[in-house]
Amino acid sequence: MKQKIILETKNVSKVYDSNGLVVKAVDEVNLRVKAGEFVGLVGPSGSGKTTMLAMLATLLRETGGSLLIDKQDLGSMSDAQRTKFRREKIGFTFQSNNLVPYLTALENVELMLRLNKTNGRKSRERAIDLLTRLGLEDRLHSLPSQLSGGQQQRVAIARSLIHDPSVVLADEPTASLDTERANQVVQIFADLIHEGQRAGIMVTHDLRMCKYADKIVQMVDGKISRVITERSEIDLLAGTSKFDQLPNNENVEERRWLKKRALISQNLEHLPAGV
Amino acid sequence: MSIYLSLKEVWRNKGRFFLFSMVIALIAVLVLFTAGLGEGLASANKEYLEKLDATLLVFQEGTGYSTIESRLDYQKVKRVQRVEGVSNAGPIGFSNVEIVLDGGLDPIDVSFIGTETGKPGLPAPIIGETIRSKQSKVVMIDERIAESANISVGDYITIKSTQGTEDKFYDLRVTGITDGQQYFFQPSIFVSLAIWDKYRPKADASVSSSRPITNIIAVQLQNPENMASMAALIESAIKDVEISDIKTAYESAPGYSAQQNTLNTMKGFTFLIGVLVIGGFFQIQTLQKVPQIGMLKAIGTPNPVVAVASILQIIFVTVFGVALGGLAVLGLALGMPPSVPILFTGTSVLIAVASLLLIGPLGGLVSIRVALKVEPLTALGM
Repeated sequence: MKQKIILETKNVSKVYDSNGLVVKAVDEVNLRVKAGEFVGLVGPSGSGKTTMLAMLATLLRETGGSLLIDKQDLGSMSDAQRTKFRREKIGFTFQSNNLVPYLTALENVELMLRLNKTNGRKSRERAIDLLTRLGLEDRLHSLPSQLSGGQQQRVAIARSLIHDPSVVLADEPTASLDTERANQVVQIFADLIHEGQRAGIMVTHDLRMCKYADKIVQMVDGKISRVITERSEIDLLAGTSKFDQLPNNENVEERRWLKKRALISQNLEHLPAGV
Repeated sequence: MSIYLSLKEVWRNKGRFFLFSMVIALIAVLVLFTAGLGEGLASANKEYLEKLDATLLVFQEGTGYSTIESRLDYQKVKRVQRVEGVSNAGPIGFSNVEIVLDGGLDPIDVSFIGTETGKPGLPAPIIGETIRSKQSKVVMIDERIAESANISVGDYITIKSTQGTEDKFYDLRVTGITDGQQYFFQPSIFVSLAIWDKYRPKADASVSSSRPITNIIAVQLQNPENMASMAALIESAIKDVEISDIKTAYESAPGYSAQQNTLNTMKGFTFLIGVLVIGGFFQIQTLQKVPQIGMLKAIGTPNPVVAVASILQIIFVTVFGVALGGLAVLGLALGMPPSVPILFTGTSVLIAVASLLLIGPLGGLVSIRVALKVEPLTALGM
């Protein structure tokens, strides 16, 4: 069955003009994300990932091209319409300062429902179910300061999904987490995107997290430099292929793999551990 | 949504907001006390004149409406009375004496006021009878004196008056008790003008009282709305006088304006301090919350929700602080000795409270502006 395209950009650009100094932060990017597809957006600092994410989140207006979510053109919307669209159609997880510090875990998740005026007893049950699914059943009434970094990110994930958005965006969601928690958080994130048939985009510097993505989009200097869809290549990039498990460095296969992975990663800022 | 966010934040940070409410409460105490003091001092200065049942006061020309400096011949009372449009006119003489008390108690300094029966200037008693005879050695006393010295109607009081270089003592029977009638920061006692002229302190004890003098003349008009034209008419009809309304008269009392201006300046500065303190607190708090506000906007919280939440929070804290301050002032006022010149009138308290409630949002305006200007992009660190 052909899956529906939820998010689409057509030659989208973002150009900053400061006193005659023109900087193309995003340069004619074309991107399509289908329902249930989880995309990893990678690239070195200054490659335009965050600008791209900000435009998709309706936080920044494009200077060229168009962005469509659920076939609605974001560029044609007024600021008030974009704010409304953002709270209804987009789920967001940030790198830090994700949660309202004076609201409990449950209240933080319910915040999206309150903003959309869809809070009620059933919605609360749904929020509790989601938090329970994320392993936070004992922390429903804890304030963010009483939660670990991983728990806070899981609450943020619940908040980004509770209002049933079409698109879920994550900006470096694992930046402040250790490897174990980072894996746990992104895996849950990916699972929930797949289950809910949403379009998910995660900006990350941590290539190990790419293993949970269905597609890797690499940006360099504001352009898409590479799109990886093959599972084996994604695993190689993430450092999780079967070759990574080989104990013998002299193995011929492994040497071949190391070479291949180095080629894939040559334009990326951070190479996977051990390469 | 705004109420939800602001209430949650205040509730989950009770300690911080309570402490800040205490600061507002202390400012409220200061403002309310300054207002009470202003009202109390003003009242102590003008209470008698303010309650006077008259529209105009006649003074000696060139005295700048000073009741003490003004000296009027008694004949002028009759001439004022004859001016068309005047319904009644009465002389008022002001002086100071001491009431001497038995049992080693401290004497009471009082304003000694001479008036005439049936004329403006003599207040109605709240207990007992008014002064009926010109020559009777009777007196009406301010309720404050009755309370503090435990004097009742029918009792005799002794006043000490300096005649020349000698202290003379005169006994007067209390015929009535009036409501609060302070003048020149002293409670008042009232006698007939003839008795007043006889007993008032004099530099020369042999001064004849065959032609009594008065300080001012209180004038009632047939039509009080014609105040200005009547003042001009009296001034043209009678030589060497100047006319004022009651308010001008007490505002012209020595020190009155200076005192009220000082207190108003104090009040003004207290308000200013309040605005700056509240403004500073919320400004710092808002600056600390910039990433959080950015995140709220990034997930789709409209700007008005953020602004209203900020305003409501300021209002909650201010109302709570002012209420605490008001209760503290109420408690302090109840335990305050009557000698402290603090008076809380409904109007002055209402104005003070309304102004205090206003300084919160006023002080918080800058922080609200900051909150509104936070870009949702800050959530992405952009």
